[in-house]
Amino acid sequence: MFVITPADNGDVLLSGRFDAAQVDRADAVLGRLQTTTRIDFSGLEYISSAGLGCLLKAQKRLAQSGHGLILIRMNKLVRDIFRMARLEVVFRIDDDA
Amino acid sequence: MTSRTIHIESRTERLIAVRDFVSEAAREFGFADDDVNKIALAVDEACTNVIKHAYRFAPDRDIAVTVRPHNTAFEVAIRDTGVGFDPSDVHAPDMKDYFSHFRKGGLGVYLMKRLMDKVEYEIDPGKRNEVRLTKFLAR
Repeated sequence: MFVITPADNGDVLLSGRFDAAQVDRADAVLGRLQTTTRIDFSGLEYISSAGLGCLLKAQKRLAQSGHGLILIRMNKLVRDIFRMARLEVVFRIDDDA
Repeated sequence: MTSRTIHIESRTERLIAVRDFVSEAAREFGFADDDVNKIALAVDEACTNVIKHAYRFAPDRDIAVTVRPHNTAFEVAIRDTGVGFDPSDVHAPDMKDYFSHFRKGGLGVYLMKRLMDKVEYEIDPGKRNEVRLTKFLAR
């Protein structure tokens, strides 16, 4: 189960397990973002490189207009994967949000 | 635990079944949750590579995943009969470069190597390709 939902406050909420089967659904939401957006990972249990690729694609597109994703509220497993993949050089990750 | 095998069709929707199968075996072998999650992710990456690269998204090909205990080593073998690919072509991505050129691929193989203690390949394209992932348990 994977859910990606734009929230009323402008954040995008992720929950469930973000693997290669969820790429089209995630691209459909992330592809509509036009400005700097917080991605709330608090409900996300799992992410694979396919999910990381979706986020990288959105980040790349937004960066071209001076915007970007701010990633917040990751669990330990997901945070470890970002660290392992050295993605801190690409994303703004706010561990204290 | 004893060796056992699951067969799945080459569809990303089946990745969850593989992760559940491998997680249960790794837990039974004695790994704590943190390592169980790492092993499941590495196997997910290996199966995703098979679906994308070896079978090029053909949806009804077979992927066999076998878990085997060897003393303190927990081995997962992922087998397919697709075109195979040369893993030596895959280098650890420099994330700044990866991002600026938006290079696709490479990240999954890199993660597999970071998550596991040993990654081995036997590639015979069209006949039998096998990736073996091993993690050691500190007893």
